[in-house]
Amino acid sequence: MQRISLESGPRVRIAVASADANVVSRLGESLSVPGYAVYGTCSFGKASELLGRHRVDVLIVDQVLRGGLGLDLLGEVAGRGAHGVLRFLLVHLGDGIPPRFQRVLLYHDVIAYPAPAQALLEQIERWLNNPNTLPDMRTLQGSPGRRKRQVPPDDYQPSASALAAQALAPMSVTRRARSVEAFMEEIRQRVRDLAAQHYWGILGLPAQAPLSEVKAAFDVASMRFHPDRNRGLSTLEGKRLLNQLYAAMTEAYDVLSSPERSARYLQVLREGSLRLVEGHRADWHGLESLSAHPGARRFLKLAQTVLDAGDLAACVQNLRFALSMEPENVALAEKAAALEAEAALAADEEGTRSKERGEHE
Amino acid sequence: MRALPLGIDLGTSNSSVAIWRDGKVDVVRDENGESLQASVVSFLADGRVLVGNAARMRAGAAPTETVLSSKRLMGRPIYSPEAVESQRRMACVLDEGPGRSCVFSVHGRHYAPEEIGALILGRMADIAEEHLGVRSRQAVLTVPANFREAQRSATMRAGQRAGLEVLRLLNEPTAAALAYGFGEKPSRRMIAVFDLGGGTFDMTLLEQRGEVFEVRSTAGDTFLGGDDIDERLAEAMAGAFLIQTGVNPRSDKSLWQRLRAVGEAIKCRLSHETEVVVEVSEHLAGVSRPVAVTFSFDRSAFESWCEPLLRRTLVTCDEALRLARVSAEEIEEVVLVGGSTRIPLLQEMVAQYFSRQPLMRLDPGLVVSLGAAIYAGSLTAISYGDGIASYAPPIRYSGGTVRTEAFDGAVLPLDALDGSEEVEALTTWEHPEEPDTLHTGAVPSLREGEVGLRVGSLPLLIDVTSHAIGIATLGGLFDAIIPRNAKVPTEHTRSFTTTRDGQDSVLLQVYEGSARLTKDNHKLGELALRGLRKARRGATKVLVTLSLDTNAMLHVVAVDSETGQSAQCDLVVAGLAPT
Repeated sequence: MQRISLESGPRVRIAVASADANVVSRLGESLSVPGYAVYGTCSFGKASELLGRHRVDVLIVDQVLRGGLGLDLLGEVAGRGAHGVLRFLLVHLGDGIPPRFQRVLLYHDVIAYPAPAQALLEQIERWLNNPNTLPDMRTLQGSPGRRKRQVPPDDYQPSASALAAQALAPMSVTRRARSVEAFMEEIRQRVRDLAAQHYWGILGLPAQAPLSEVKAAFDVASMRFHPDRNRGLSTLEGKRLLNQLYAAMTEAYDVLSSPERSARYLQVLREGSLRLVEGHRADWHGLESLSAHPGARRFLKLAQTVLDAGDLAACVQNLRFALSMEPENVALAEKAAALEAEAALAADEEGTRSKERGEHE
Repeated sequence: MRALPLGIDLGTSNSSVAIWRDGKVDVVRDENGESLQASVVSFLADGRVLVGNAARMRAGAAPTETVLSSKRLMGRPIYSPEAVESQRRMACVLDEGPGRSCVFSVHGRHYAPEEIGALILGRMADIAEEHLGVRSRQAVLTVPANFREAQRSATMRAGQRAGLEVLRLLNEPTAAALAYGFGEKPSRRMIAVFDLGGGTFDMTLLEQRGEVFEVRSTAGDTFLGGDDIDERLAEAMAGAFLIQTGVNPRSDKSLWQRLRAVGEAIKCRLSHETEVVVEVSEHLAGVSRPVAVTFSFDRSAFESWCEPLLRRTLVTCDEALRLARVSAEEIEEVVLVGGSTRIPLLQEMVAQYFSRQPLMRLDPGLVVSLGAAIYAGSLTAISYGDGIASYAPPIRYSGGTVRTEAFDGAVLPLDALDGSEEVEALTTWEHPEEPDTLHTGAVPSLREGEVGLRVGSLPLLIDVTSHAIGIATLGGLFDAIIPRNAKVPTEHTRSFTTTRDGQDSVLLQVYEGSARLTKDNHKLGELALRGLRKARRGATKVLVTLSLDTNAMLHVVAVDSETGQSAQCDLVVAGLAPT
């Protein structure tokens, strides 16, 4: 038996239940401060047994799945009347939890990840000292610990299947994953859902989740779906689907983790498209497509006209004007630089030729 | 004894091998106790082949039979500037091989650079076999971050030729970061790896978040390394030699090779001495007595010689930071890798650039193979999913480390519940112990068994492409579809329209490289899409999808978005030499 504090026992008892042993061990490590005792388990049966027999102040249930074991545990605790034994619950990834449980659970979205352990400790302390803020969801909505979520753009409506796919809580390890076949089935399902999901949805997040969550979700996704973690999936179909799924997750992460690209993505979403397809390079779509700025577009139109006429130097000049209207447009700056290089090259060749001609004469 | 996956650092000048065993990594030493082997192969006239340190000893005596720095020529065409430069420096004869590749010509036989690599890898596997008593068949090999696909596949072939299943090619700086970051408490931080080896310089920025290592950017200079410094020293000595003796060492390959070796020794000594005096005494053709010339170098003169060279590294650092959109102040760890980072001036420059003291806790010559072995262990430990079914991390409790069993078994602390009614009887978490030797700050001697690492952490690497892949467009411009520094595996789609009225076919030429103009990049292959609907220019839209998997296999699909007409091909991004 190991005592943490010199007092007769731990002041706060926390039970962690997660199907993911990594989560259990990480939380255990990050919460093992004096005065706290953390009990971890990957077995929901064991967790239930513990809760029935002992005083537990905080129950952390990670990654609740609709119809999954985490939910069963919540139901059991809620049905038993959590307040006698249990002070409150922390639940990671609240999507898919029916309203009847929301009375006792506290949505908390950072627990699976190591960095905010300090924040988690602070919140636990705050809530333990002031139990009145618990566990009513209505009070939680306004509590300072809970970040207000931005809503998706008004005119954007995710499809029904996208919503359904989001309700499938992300990255959780369930009973289904105990065999390769079940894992394959999960991959197939996720690949089927891809077409209707926005980038946050692909990573298992609600729309417009903040960057910290995007990173955390991508890490969980990578641990599960990166090809390096799935060398055992030897079938051709498995490899193909896994690559497809993980490439989509990578794309989502790449867009959402870049401030410029995620801003552009929001624009694309409003236009009704779920993917950010980049490119539309000037050579193929006309220089005008490089900018949305009306002043810049006027010069770009001119630039296109003179380019079609074969006057590269005039085109570069017009691009420079366009760039002066919109100096922060990276694509435009790149294009201008590229054409400038081309123009310089052409001028060089012209110079060499005329020099050669001069020598001939 | 089980066969264990190996991590092999196939370096330009030196190679080393490490093994992963029971959650620990060790560098394996050869029968002489050496942890580094020279990447040198020497062919004897009687058909015997010397590999490693024994071969290096023959470099001076038999320069034309000894192949040095063969890695520089892997996957490079014979007409490339690098090959021309290498030939200028090397005594061994270089010939043109199949597909314009380089081959070394020794005793009338041709050896491709990957064959030389295979011999070295075979030697490394032998060393590990000697130690383990069983032959390992799987290995993670390392390559410089800026190696092109052709060079990577040549390295892959070298591994296969040596009878190894190449689990993964890992970039050297990334491997180093794994060795430094591995076993530390999961945390979030930025790591910069500054890798100046014998032949190449690479700068890599990684973000570590717990077990996930995300490569944020890589940048490099393929022809900058310690060899260039040796070269400069040898040139300085050659000048003095010519003046004093009237003999030009440039025209005597054996003498030149020896001067280079002396140059290298001087460089190494100047890292901890301020002044070095050496005497080179040579038997010259037509002179009966040996000619002795004394050279004296002091550190400040040496530094002023190599400063412009070393300055070039900082330009690359700027580029890496810009690509990752981080500032030098945000970097929390600076890791130095590669023998050339022992130069005090360089350490000063790096410390100044990042405003922090760089890390050199681990031997910079061995850290890459350690990292490769860590990743080899990580790759083989988990077979699918996040590995809960096949692998579970240990949880420390009551002073012991207990491995969790299968997925559905409880992780331990609760098992202590059985037979006890008291809450206090439950086992509580304790503070995780400090990791043993690897991360406590002292320089571990890296003798076998001394590097202890926690089993619980199996790093996952999210790597990036070091070159863009794209297609040639109108006006000779290169249009990158998969950008440089894109995470692999990746899939990118780009839509294009026709450029002529009535155009009914598109030829897509796939290139690799980072230059703006197509002609400066490397062609990988081409793909034709025919039978497009004839229309006004710009009216027909073609969707081009490039996907790249972790083994650098490129898949290209082009679809006419209106007719559904499609063309596709798999481009194995191969080197110049046929497989």
